[in-house]
Amino acid sequence: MKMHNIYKIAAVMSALFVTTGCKKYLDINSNPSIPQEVRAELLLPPIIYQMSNGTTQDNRVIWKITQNMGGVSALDASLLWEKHGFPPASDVGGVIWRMTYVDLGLNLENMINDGVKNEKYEYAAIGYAIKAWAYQMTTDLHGPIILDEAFTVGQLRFKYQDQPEVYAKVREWGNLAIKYSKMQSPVSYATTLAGVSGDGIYRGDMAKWRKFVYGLFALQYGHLVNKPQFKTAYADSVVKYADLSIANEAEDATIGYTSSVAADSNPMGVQMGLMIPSTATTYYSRPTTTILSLLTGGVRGTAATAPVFTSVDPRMYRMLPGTPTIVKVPGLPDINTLSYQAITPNLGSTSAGIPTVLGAVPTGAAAPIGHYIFTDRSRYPIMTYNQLQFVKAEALLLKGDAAGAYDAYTKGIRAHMDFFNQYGRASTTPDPAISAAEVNTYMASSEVAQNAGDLKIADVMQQKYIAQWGWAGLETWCDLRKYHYDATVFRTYYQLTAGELFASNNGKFAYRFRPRYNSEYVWNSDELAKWGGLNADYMTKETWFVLPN
Amino acid sequence: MQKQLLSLILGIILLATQAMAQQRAVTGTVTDAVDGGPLPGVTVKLKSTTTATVTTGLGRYSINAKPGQVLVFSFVGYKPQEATVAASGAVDVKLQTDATALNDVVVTAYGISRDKASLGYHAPVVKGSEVAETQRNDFFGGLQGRVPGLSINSTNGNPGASAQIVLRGFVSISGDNNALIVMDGVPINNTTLNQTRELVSGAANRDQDYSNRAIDINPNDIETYTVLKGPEATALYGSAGASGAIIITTKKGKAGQASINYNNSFRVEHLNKFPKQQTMYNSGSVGVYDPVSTFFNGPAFVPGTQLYDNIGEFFQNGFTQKHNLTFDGGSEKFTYRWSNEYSDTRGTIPNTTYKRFSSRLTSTAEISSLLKMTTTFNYINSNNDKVNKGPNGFLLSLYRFNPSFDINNYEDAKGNRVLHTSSIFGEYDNPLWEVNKNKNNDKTNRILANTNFDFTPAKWLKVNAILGLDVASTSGLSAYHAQSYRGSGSASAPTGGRILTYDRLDRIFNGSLTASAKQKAGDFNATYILGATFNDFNSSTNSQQGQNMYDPNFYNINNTLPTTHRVLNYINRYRTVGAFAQAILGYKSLLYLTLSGRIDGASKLMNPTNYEDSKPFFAYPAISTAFNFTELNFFKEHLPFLNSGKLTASYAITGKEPWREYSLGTNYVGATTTGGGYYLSNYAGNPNLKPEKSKNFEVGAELQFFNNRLGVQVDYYRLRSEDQIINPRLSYGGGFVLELINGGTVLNRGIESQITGGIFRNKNFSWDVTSNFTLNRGVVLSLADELPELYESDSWVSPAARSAVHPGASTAAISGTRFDRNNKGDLLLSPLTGLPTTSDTRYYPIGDRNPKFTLGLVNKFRYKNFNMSFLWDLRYGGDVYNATEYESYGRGTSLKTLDRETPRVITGVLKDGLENSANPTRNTISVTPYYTPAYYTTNISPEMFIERNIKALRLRDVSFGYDFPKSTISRLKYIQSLGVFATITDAVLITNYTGSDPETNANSTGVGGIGGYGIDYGNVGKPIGFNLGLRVRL
Repeated sequence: MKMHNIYKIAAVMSALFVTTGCKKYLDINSNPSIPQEVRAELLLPPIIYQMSNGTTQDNRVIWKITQNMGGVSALDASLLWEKHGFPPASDVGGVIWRMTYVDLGLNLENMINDGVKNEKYEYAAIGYAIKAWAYQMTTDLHGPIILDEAFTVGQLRFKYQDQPEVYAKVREWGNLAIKYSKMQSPVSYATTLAGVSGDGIYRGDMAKWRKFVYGLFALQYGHLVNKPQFKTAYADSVVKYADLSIANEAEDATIGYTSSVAADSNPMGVQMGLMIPSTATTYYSRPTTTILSLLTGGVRGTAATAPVFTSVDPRMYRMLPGTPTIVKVPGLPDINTLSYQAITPNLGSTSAGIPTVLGAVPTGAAAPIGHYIFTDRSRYPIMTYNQLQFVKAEALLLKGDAAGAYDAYTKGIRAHMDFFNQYGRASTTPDPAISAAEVNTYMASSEVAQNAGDLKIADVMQQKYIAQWGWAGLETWCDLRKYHYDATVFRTYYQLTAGELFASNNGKFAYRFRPRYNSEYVWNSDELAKWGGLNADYMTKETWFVLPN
Repeated sequence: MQKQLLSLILGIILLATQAMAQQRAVTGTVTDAVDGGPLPGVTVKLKSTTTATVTTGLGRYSINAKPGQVLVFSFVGYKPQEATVAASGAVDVKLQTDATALNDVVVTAYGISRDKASLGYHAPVVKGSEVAETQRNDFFGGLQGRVPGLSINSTNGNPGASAQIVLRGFVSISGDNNALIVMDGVPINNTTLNQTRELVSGAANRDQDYSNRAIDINPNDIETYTVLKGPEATALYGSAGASGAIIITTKKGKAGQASINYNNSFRVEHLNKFPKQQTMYNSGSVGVYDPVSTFFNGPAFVPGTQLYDNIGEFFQNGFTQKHNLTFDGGSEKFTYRWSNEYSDTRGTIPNTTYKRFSSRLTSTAEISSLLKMTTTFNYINSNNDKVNKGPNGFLLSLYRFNPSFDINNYEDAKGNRVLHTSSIFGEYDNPLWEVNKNKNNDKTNRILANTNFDFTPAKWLKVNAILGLDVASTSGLSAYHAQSYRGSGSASAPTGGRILTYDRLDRIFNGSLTASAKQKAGDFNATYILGATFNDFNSSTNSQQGQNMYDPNFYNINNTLPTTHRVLNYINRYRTVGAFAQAILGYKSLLYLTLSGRIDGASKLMNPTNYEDSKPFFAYPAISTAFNFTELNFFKEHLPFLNSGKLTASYAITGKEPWREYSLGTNYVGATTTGGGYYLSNYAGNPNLKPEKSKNFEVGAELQFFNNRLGVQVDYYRLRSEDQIINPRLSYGGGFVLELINGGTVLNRGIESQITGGIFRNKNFSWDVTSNFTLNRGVVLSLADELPELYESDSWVSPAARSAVHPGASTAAISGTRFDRNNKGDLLLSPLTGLPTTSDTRYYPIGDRNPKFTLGLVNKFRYKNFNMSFLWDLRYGGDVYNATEYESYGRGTSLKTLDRETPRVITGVLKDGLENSANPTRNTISVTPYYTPAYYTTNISPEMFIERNIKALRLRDVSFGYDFPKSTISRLKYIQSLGVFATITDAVLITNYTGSDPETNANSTGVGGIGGYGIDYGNVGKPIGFNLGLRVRL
């Protein structure tokens, strides 16, 4: 056998390899258990679910700062958030970041692209609306975030852009959502969108999605109260968009669940366990004195001490969990034996017996059944009519239109009562609906401003605090930040002393969250450094919307 | 059944004897002409017939022959010899060694036999019997210490435990570092289930262990192990062999008289080393008793309190029985071998078992003078009952179990868990409850089949075709009882027990076609090899998970609440093709040059959405030389004591395909949330992924002295692996959490040496020694894009420490947070408490798990009919992270916490702003841990539990054997030989490691890269085992 023969054979064999046969044989590098290309229709359900999952997980710690809820644990890991601090090297408080870039992220991009390219305009519209919402949430939480460079293939480090740019993009995407929502797809997706794997928020009602986008705009302009242009320009935008937006509680943006298993139920419910991680974990979801006082006479007067079932505010026992007293009064309904307690933020309350907002554990049962909007079957609110009424009231009041403000203010309070009736009664044994008489009594009480002249910004903001309690943690935090935690605006807010604040805060309150640790502090430290993100007190740095300029 | 089998066997033997009645049984002994030692395995053939036999372990044979016939004795390495049968008397023969002993033949890739002299590298060979003698269930456990450069890292000492099989150190940071296992030319399945990817639970690979599938192989079926280490040696296996290969040649039937071999072994195992726990202080905090606490910082036990030896009570003696029954025989044209094994191991931890039945049929047929065919069919059935490890596994449960409670009292009369401190949701399991009620089981059925055609169309040309099929089906179950800590859920959301079951079907189909041609022209000779291979791997796993078991003691998925069911189907499939060419050019037997080239095609490099631009093919070359300098007359004349000497050098490049399937394209995951649908996997697709590339340079020498009594082999290698395929966490700005990317360079350098010596040899006594020395240094030169650290999250079992790599640090670094120190390196202490602080949460390399060197020493003695061998194995240096102790220390159960009432002042300076000044404040704050439990909990650092420079000397295996003399057994008519043996496994462990065993892994081998190697977390070591058995040949 001669050498050149060997080479010939080798050459022929090699040639055979590179030609089609072998390459075809190797073309199996796709997962046969899962489709490789997914249509917009199948991308939408997890996107909508993740909107509730992402916000719930971060709300748990945002609420510690807004004092919606807190823990009964004395451990550092629990208390540091109540001290306006952060845990080092931890992803806690980074779930909205993850939601925007990963859970929605390219799923949303692919859905929008499929929607635009293949003329599924409903999906393009819903996609842009959700994208606008997600980025607004993310920048409100973190300030500067990844914007234009997001999802650049092959890039490992990303530039941040500050809030004005993000807000502008949010408006741009919102307008695209409106544009696509008005376009007619050649094929109707109405049945799909209304089905179980469809649009879990509005079931494909595009008019309502437009209202959602307008609501988002109203909220955005509403954040800018400290800007010099607010009275001259932004306040009018708030009013305009609030009026174009959700018109009643039936139109609220809420997410529904089938609630057969944990993953398919409200993340704030019993099964998911986020609000009650386990009996051993006592970090989260106990109501604070801040909300309890607002519901027991603290909005304008002095809150009741040792409150029981009866309160000036009919929402009190309907929103907050009661603590069963030891002595049961024979012959009286159970509900009368409830007392209402709440934790004081930052103390690692010794009142370990204070139940979570899901309610006390019934005798003989292992778990609470859920209460108010904290049940497996409750719809998860994203944006509500009453919320927007308070935004409108605030804008008009700051602008000087007290009468208009008063109108929106009273509409807001009444609408939140209706919100309870519509969304707060999904428990298996719900509290009774709030009757018109109860509403009227409250409206006539000293807790409510009785005329436009008497209306203070504190009235609006505290009613908004009550209305947003338990779901709109981030918007509540925006409110607190806008007013710099002003004790005259938020009368029941527990004002932490310098000594109570997180050590590296240098005596300052928190104004932003650090970006997600495992995403940014590992790869993007140069960019973080540019924004001061590596400083220990980065969390106290005021975000752009809070600043006058 | 057994009776029938026996009569059948006896019947066959009787028939055979009657047919040969006119002949006489010729017996004799074959010995080495130089030292007089017996030679086992010598073929004794009746000239011009097909009758043949082989000599026994004592060199004895027996063959039926007529007076005047000629017997031919032949054996590898010896000159053949003939002897004529006389009318009576024994025929004893002394065989002379063949001067051309270097012409030994080594089986390399695809069954290609090569002259040892021509190899440009060293390929150590271990005899199968040497490994089988250890009576271990897995062959790889028996290989440890017998080959330089080979390291077997088992998870723990439990039956069925997984093990990494690593040659020349860890090279891939995240990829698979396991050697390819090749049986009779066919790569076999040695995968380990990856829980994260393949099971619906998606759990990290640490709380359960799954066997690596090479465990299925019966060590008694193996004739030899040839270890191919460098990439040059494995260039022929391509990508799959990039981490080296263990080439297994199985036993084949031998022509001649049929024989039946039976051997058995009975083993008792006892676990004799595990850390003690303190039994002085009760549960509680700050010296105050708290019955609910699982921290032991309470007051001293009240004198007179009954304390139980729960650790002693927990472990039991293990017992194993093993039976091997083999039939073999045949004629020159057709041989067969049918071997059967049954082994049944009960471990030292209650409810751990490993049972295996293996039946293997091999036949070799000469179909024509040109074509020979060998067919093998192997069926294996195994059953492995396991226990959980990790944070809620039996060992950590045992360590935190209050000694004032009796461990045996774990279940009350009604079958409920006995509780001491809390509810079923809050109290950790009693370890006996854990091992009795939380079931873990794997059942495997496996079939290995292969056919090997040898076609010799001309004297100079050989064509070999191999087809192999390896099908394994595993059904597994992992359950947490409804009342167990892990299975009960929480009071608010009780889960009522949890069951995970899975069925995994692995199928490998592969084949190769090779042609080798030999050419000789004067002093020049050449061999050319051409070949092509394909390999098709397909594994499908269906797993189901359910909760809320109706009957808490019935372990089946049907017994769970339908609304809680979740399912996952995972299919892992990949294919490779390869073509290679090799030319071995020789001048006399003095100088050889081998040139190899290979092209590989890997499906894992195909982009599923872009066929045209996919580049699945990659090619790499290898070159090696062998210089047999003792062929030169100069050495023959001047150094007569040097029998042979060879210098080798080689350089080779190897490519390694991506270690994860489907990583070029984007993948979706099915959503289990409201409305279902799909979302993108956290793993980004990377269409630019290319193979990991290794460049290996190697030089070596091989010398034989004093009539081959002393052999020395030394190798030095330098392996640089570039474009490492790593899986880092990314900035989420890219839309994904993780991505498989190329990045990073790893350099491994090492020295391997094997010295063999026949220290003493004569007719009655011989003493042979083999020493295996391994030194490997692996360092990560760089990581992608200046990534400071890349960690394996599955290894993060204990707070603040994990397996990770850092640029400039060892490949086997352990990474952890560190106490704060000032510029001078003094410990910084809190001015309030006087305790150390850890404010820097970054991870630094705080230890190196790579041993400095290892040394295996095999001693073999023979005295008349006795033989004995033992294997010492030394690991010298390298760190072990004792995470079990970390846990015990934090809980106050460690012996190190016994001095808690002694006040102490920690040496260091106060963190008061002056720490970096010229005069920092020295600490004077006295701490008494008894009153400051934070001393043991918040102020501990993983650095404190890195046990440094660990040395471990083990007597791994000791075997004694005795063969009854012929005179004794001649009365037992049908018995050709009879022997008894005793073996002790893991007899001695002398170490400065304070935990159970420095050989430990916190993960299963389902984790790639270095994994949890050297992280000791909730594992027990290897028990000492005493085997007794007999072997008989009919």
